[in-house]
Amino acid sequence: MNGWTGTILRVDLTAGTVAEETLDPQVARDYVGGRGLGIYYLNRELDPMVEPLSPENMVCMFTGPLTGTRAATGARYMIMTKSPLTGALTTSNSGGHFPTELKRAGYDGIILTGRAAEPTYLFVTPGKAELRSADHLWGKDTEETTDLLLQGTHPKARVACIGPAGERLVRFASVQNEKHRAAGRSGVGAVLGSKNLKAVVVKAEAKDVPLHDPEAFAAYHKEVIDAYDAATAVTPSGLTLYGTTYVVGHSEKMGCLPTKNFQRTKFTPWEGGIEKEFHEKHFIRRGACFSCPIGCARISKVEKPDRTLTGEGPEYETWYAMGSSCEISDLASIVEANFLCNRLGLDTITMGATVACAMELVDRGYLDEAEVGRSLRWGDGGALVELTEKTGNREGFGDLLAEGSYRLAERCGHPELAMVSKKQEFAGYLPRRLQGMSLTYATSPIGGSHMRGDTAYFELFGTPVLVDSAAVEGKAELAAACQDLSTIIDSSGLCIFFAHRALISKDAKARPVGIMEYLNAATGADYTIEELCEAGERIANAERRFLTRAGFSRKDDTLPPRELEEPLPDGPAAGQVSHLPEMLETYYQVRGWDTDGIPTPATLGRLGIA
Amino acid sequence: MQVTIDVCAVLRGCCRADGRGFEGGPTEIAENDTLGDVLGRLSLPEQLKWIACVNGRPSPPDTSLSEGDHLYVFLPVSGG
Repeated sequence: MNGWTGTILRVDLTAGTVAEETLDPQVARDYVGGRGLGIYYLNRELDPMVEPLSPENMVCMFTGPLTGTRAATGARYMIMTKSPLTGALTTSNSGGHFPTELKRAGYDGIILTGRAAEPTYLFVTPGKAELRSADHLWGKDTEETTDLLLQGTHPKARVACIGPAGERLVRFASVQNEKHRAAGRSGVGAVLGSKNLKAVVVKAEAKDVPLHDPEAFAAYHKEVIDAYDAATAVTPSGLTLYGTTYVVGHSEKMGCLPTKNFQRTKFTPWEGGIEKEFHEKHFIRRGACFSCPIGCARISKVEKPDRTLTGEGPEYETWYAMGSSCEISDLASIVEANFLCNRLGLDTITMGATVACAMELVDRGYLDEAEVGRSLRWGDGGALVELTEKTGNREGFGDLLAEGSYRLAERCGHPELAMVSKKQEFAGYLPRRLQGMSLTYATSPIGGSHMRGDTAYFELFGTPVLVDSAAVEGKAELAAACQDLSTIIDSSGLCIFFAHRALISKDAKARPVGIMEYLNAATGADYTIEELCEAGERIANAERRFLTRAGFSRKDDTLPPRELEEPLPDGPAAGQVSHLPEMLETYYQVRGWDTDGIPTPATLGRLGIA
Repeated sequence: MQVTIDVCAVLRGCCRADGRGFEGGPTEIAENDTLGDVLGRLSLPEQLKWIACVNGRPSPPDTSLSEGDHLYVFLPVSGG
């Protein structure tokens, strides 16, 4: 096989065994890779009713056929399992260099089952993988762990690991690769922690991935890069200049920035954007994942009285969750809390959103500050930093925060104040402002994520075209198209930042025309655009099939009352609520699901899903 | 009448033919000025595919303007 390596690693942590398995070429073509292969194996082998933190849960870590190939942004991998935060799927995605190293070591992915008796890490080299003791790593943060593993294996190896948060089963613990890149959402780190697996370390030897037609691949790649260079000749992209920090001001101006736990959108301290202040005070240099022409990563710093902290980030989603949603405008506190999340192994979005929820619970008298153990008022950056550290270590009130915002709010008798869908905290786009986003949040297979069907590209960013965010008509079709597109991006091993800009059709159908060109040159799969779109639909329906077998249905495809009933009080969409119920009916019809949100036998049969 | 013009950070340095850039802010315009008239005076490079919104909604160049309107011009964004 080309593009795909054709080999998967099977790791039984209970038995302590590692084995290679051949990837079925037809399965690879039908499910593409990454996220597609993850759901294929989960549906085939995992009981959807499994307790997520039990040994019976399984974890799929999969690259895509374009990962490590030098396709623009071909640097991504997925971690898929059953989430301890939501009970639904995880589809956590990360870039950097670890995924490329895994692919070049000769593996499309790793399937983990069971639970190791003692702390363990997996060391992967070409043709050989072994489980080793991680006793000396348990309790270490992700930076210490990475440094020790590089010393103990190979200085140029790549490391994906959990921090103390994963060990302590924080429900939104992340898996960090190269210290700062996070497979962040839905608690994948807690699942690894429950399996006593501290890290996966990979050292490859190959310098490239075999391609079906290297000349065609290089020619198409040149076309893509030339077009990108021409488009950025007058001025570089905002992502290159400022990273995703650039999005803060844009979102605020467009009335989309969630503020004060989604109560409103106007956040006056940030109305002019924060990119200038961030770059003056905290920016060190740019960074980039493998084969990325954008380079959006920010290596950053915080000056403390006694030392300088360095790390990476924050990203837009972190600015919203730890900043505007908590009404914290002090950038230094947010950067510091972001660094803590990376070291402890925590999802910054859920961390910030849970603190915002706690602030509202205190504000409304539903949570006593005596239980918090300190004052907790809107805008308190010191509280954010302190509570982040306590959460990662499950210390004091942090033990409750470690359960996520829904369980916190439910315990206080007000689950409606958790800004979640399927118990997964929203990303940084007000659902009431973007009707399409409200539909994708509600129907996403992981809950309130922007990455599993990002209509904000059309409703907020204008990439590739801008559509009316307030309109209801057409949003069911747009949401389904964006969800199917995201499955193809995630399954191919690409990054959404570049794919939306350069590799899809320039209309609201969002067809992955450029991705198809790359895939065909890399794999020889000879996809037509219809076949590739159908593969996206197949993966989306396979994920829905997993959810419905786990007990999810229409009742779970919803939003908090705040989004459905409270008119937005400010900004350009003042007075607006989410029109989710109107859109949901049409969405189910577009999807070929019944009125309860269950894929019909005809739909599953058409897509070849058992 | 007065409107407020906001230009995204990436575009600020590209505005105005004399290369001085444009920071945006409250701006006096004529009563019958359209969105296109106002944007024309910013001299945005023709090869850039910018997008203009009035009060948060995408708007074509012939859009009529009113006192207090918020004009926002940006380049298509990626990220989030």
